[in-house]
Amino acid sequence: MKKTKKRVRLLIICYVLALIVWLGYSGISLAVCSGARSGRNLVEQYLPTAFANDINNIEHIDSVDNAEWLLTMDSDPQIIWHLGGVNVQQLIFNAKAVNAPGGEIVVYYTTREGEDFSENKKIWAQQDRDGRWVFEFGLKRIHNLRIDPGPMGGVIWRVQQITLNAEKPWYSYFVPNTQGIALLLLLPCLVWGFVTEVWAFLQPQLAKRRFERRWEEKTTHN
Amino acid sequence: MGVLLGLLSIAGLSLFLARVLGKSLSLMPFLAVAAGICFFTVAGCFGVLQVAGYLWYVLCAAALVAVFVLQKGHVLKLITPGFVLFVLGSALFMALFLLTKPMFVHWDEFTFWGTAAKITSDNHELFTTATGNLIARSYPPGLMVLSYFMQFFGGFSEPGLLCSYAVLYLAAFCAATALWGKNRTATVVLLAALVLLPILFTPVRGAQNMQWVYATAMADVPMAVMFGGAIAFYYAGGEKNEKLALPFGVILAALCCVKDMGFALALIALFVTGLDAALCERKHLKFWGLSKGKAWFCQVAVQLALVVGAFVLWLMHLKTAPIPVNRYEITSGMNMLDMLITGVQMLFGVGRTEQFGAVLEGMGSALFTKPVSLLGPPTVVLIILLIMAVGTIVLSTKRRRRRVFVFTICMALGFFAFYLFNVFTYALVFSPQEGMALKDYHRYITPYLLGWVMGALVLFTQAATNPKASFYRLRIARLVNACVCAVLIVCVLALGNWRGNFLNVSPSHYSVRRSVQAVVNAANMQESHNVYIVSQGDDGTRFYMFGYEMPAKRALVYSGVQLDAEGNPVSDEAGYPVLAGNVSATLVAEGQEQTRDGGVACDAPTLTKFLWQQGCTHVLLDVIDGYFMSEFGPMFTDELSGWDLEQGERYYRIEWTSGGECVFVPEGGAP
Repeated sequence: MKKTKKRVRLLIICYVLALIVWLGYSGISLAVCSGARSGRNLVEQYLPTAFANDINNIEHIDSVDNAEWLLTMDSDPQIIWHLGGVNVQQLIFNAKAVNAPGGEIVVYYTTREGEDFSENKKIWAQQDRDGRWVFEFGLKRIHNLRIDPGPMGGVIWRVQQITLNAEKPWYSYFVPNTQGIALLLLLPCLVWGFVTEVWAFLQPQLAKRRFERRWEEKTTHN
Repeated sequence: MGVLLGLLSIAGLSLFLARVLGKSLSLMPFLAVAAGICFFTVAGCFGVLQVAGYLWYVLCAAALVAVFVLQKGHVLKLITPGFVLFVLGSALFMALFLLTKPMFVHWDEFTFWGTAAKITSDNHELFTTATGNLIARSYPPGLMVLSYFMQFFGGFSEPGLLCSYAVLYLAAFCAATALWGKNRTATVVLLAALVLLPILFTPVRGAQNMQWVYATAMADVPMAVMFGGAIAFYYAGGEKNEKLALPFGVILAALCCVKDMGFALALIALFVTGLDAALCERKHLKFWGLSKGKAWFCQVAVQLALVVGAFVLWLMHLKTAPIPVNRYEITSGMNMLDMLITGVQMLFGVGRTEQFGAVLEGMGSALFTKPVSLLGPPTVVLIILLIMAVGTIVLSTKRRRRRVFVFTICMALGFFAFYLFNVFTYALVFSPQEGMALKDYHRYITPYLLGWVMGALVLFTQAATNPKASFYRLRIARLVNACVCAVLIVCVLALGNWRGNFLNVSPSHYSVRRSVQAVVNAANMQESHNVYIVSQGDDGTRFYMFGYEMPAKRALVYSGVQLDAEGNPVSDEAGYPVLAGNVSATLVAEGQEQTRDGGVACDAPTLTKFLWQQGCTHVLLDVIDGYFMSEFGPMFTDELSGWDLEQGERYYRIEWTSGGECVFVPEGGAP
């Protein structure tokens, strides 16, 4: 009974530790980000709405009418934004495919000068309540950004705004996403299991006594 | 909510089975799920699914009550950590899917797995005979009936189907932890490693494949886990008496019901366990009054009968169901037996085709080069399995050593046979392009490897739970066990691409689904309608998605004049050419066929004739282009007026005039 209590206590400790780690991590991110914001190291900015005129920044994509409307020309449309070493926390792509389903939206990024875009530095879009596509970077120093709006040509996009580092409310740092919830629930349990298993090995004398006692019980029962 | 009741029924039945069979409760959820699959497959074949559904829930409730009566309040004594984790894990999966609301996106989910499950649930009838937009109908029904009975209350939903799969996965994994008995911590560690196994067997690092493990309706992972679970059930099942032999047979039968390849895997599992029983357990075998050799014979005979019975039952059902095409004859006019005979002949060089040679060579080098797991190609997995086998032999004693030895040899032989079987299918059933490219190689090979790893892990556990081993050997085995699981977990966590997993699938993947749903929802469709879908430029994806979503019947798309084997047009009795339909075709002007992908020349009179032949009542405009507007526009009473701004009417009723012509009237609008 004592052993059971001890183990349950250890399990509770694991969960409390996980909670502390989570809160600490969130708190530190909040502190770092607000610090960077006040030091002008993390700045809210917009992809120039006149980017259609700045054709260097846009590949495989043509604009129609005005900057708000984009028409993808082939199956690999890309909007490339040369940032040149800027801290990025989040990107919001507020756009809607008008005439056809847009398909999978991803963002590639590079963290060094002269680096190519690669599969290892890729983020999939999540969607917020207003239907805007949101990409979370954590906090990274980014040189180039590439938004891939879907794998299809002939799609008309209405791009309302592309925002970098929009202000986030403080509590959003503390709300885990689905994956975070799963990890918070499962990891402590797993750590508990592993630690206890290893602990059982490191205490051979105690365990041996118990083992022999149980063995005796078993043989006397039979 | 429906799946929660399904989980409750499984839990109730598990408790009852554990009490009756006198075995660990950890084993029972898997047996309960397998029993459910077999029960509903039989019921479905006889057309009484709904009755079976009520009966199932009544019986499970009765079983739950019976446990409380039989145990006289000591039900807690039955509970094992594995079972608790099974229930909590399933509930967690349900909660997570409730949050993420996953949807189907894969081609195969709309051509078969998802659509079949949906129409089975909607009609309370097996998909073979139920009305619905399903073209291929002859695959085994195991997973559809699983989704059916798990969602018996509440009706079909996509997250619900994935939840019922999750229950199956966790039940199988939970069975593999049975040897740890009431050791909670060891169970947790082993279960974590097992849950990550399907993710370990995703082929490419860095790519997005990981996103769909646990979030797809396709049958490969369920089959793999059931194969592994069956082997685990046998090794972790304790005494080899009739109380193990019969349930094991039921599990193998369920494996046959899941997919065609399940039959082959069930036979291999039977081969491995049968030899194990003969060589390592012969003195301890029991089958009611019988023992030793006679018991072995009866056990294997009964298990084989159940496996073959499940297979034959499905074949018999297909004979009675009005299914237009025989699946085995679509590609090469070959049934399984013919394929095996021809394959073996070609293997020894008799009449070997070019495709066979290329496939054989490709499959040989694929063993070393084609990645099937995060760790690499099959050889890497095989080497790891060999190391595990050696480790287990070192840690075990006497009889258990022999058991590991027999297991490894048999599984290796089984792998050889399985691999050869896949060579035959690639060479003889697949089209040359798909066969020689070894299409979906990892999907076909991993089920076996995953099952093998599960079996190997259970044997590892056996070394650490042997009551007769010396104390220190046991201690070390237990530590090694924890470490092996830890290494496995760390491998998956480190090598997997966790930026894209099933819990954070980007909603942008669902945009095609959503657009199809929007079109269907806007149209005022009735079940009696027969709808011709115009989706210019579609490759069949949207066609199948429409079939999945639509309450009405979906007609084929016009795809030209039917040709015979020599390429000449086929004529009907009156001498007119017979028009053919397919799942995708883009209607273009005469002479434009070559310039457009899937282009088929079609003018207004041809389409009219085709619509008449197919008995269409409605036309749904999904995607149209300039040619369609100019050629077919005049047939629409509103002349497609809104379409210049992409906001036109989409759903039209077909009205036939006396001259055999037709006009399209906006549904609900004035004629």
